[in-house]
Amino acid sequence: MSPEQESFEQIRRVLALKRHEIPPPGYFHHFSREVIVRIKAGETGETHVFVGQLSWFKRFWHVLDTKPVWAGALGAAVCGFFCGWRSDLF
Amino acid sequence: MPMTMTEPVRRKAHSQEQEQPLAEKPDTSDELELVERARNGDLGAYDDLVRRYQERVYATVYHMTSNHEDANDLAQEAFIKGFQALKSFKGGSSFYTWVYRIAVNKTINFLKQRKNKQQMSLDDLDFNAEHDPDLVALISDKTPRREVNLAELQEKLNEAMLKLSEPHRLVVTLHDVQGMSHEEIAKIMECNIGTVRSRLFYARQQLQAHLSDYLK
Repeated sequence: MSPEQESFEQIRRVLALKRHEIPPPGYFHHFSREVIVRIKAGETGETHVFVGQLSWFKRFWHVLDTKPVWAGALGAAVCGFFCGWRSDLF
Repeated sequence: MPMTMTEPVRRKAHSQEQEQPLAEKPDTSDELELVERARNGDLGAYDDLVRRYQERVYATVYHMTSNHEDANDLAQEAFIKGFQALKSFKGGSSFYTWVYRIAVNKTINFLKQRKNKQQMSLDDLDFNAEHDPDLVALISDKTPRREVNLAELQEKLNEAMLKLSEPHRLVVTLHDVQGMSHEEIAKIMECNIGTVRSRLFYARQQLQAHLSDYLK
């Protein structure tokens, strides 16, 4: 076996590791059902948008949408601001 | 290519789950009928088709992205898009090849959009990894904790894969990881067999260079 073939043989062995990478237990039990549910919901399979491509407002909204704690904190901050601004009413 | 070098996220694998045998293809004798029924709106038939190829499609996308969450999204979206595009499926190739092509194109477009912001989120290794003769031959007998070496090797291998360009990563995934023939890969990638072979040769050279510290 030539040195190059031997090196490629080692790479082939290393790549065997990739075949042992498997998703969490039970992952495929629900996969097809989720696909069907999304088809029934009218999805077209073109929904994976990289957040970085969105306008700043849509990125901001995406953050609030995916992190409800931040949305709650923002709401509390806005309420606090208005309460402080209109403290003369109390 | 710079990457976000955070500690890769890992998920526990089930010790009893068996990896699908290399290059095993599902029985396709009734595939035409299932495709025709799905084309007419039969979601039960399409569900059968999805279950037939879900592991292989997920695996290809995962090996391309080294990210479980992205692979989940992209694999699902590939099948969803496949259903919507069934009317354009003319039967020139098998459904298997056709849906693979959708998944591969979708993944490559996604990776190009991500550019330098790739982040690994690795699936864990199954129970049999430690006993794989190929891996046993690689791991040094002098190392007392073999499982640590395997985890490190997994991380370095995925980093090395992510350094390859998408076409080179794809041929290595389809051939060396998933056991497809050059002919099958050429159909999926819509290129000739010579291109597949030269990309494979170059990709292996690159991996060899990136992983030289881990090869005996």
